[in-house]
Amino acid sequence: MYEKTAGGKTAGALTVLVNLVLICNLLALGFVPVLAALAGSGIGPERLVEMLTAAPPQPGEWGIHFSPGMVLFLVLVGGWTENFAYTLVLTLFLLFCGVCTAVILWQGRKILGTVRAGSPFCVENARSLRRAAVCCFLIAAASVARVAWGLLWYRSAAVLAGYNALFVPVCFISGLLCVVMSHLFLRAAQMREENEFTI
Amino acid sequence: MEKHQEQKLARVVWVLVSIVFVCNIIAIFLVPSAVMTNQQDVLHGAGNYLGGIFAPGEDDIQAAGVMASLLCWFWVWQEAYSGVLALFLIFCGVCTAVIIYQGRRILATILAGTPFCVDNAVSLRRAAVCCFLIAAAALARLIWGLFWYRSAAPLVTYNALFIPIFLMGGLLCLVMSALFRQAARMREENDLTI
Repeated sequence: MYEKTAGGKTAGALTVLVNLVLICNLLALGFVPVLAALAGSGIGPERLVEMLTAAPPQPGEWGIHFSPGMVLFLVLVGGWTENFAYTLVLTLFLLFCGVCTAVILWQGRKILGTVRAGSPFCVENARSLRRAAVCCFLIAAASVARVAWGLLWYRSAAVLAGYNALFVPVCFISGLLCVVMSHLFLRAAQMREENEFTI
Repeated sequence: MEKHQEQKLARVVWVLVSIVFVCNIIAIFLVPSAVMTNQQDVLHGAGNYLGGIFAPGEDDIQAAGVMASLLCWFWVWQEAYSGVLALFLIFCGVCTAVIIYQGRRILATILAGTPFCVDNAVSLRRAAVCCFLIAAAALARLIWGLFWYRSAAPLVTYNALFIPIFLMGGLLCLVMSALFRQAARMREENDLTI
């Protein structure tokens, strides 16, 4: 069957990418406190790259110069001390979302495995999609909590125009889509069973 | 005819997707004004611009603000950085509008009780092409940014993150398209069986 082979090949390529993303996701989880502190320090990525790659002063020239390691250390300490509440909330939020995305990717891997095996319409895939949907709803809920915290902490509506606020509808709709797809997979699995029992 | 549970849910998603579609079209219109208000943070730029219109301060003139959103479509191209940013966002906005429209069509077939049809496979293929176009546009903007800033800073932005996300989104749409085609064939076999 041509379609099955074409879908299987694409699923193979996608599985490789999903595996890579899953590894990156798990590695990123370990760096979350560092990344959150960088965001909390208020130093943008451009300025940070500038600071890390700054040339030392020439001999005879006066100037303070920190090694890249020292710059990173001072920035991290700054983030965790000067802007503690923001850094802590961001760390907790990112860790929680990171775990949820890892679960979603894992479910994706399982589904792609069945597609490659040539048996995509099975009840197990419907269950996997339902689990992915729950994780999407959890991320949406965490985003709502973080937006609510931002509104109370900063007492400003500017929080509503951030990327975080955008996560709420995106993850909520994605969750609903996963539930719909889960039902469709279930129906397709029933249809396949009916087909197989028909002589 | 008794409604399946997925049809009830699909109705909710259809309404939400329709709202997002309208927001998407409005956002495309506001792109130049948002870029000109705040180049560094377009979301805050859009927030500030809309704030000036819907909650005007003493110095804000609402009519001038509304007119500015039209004039910005001509002004935004005068500077290289804002021009590239606006072009990228408008292009991506059109692509996402097409993706959302395809999503609405698929949801409509679910609502009609005929989700397993070849039309859905075609819709998903179109959505996949749009995802690949967004990934390509993000890659082009990333390369442009690397040359413009002559630094590695553009690699740690949301824009760089868009490339793998939309590449994988496109591949996922292709896989789903193949599955829908397979399911459509299965349904046809089922229907023909007495």
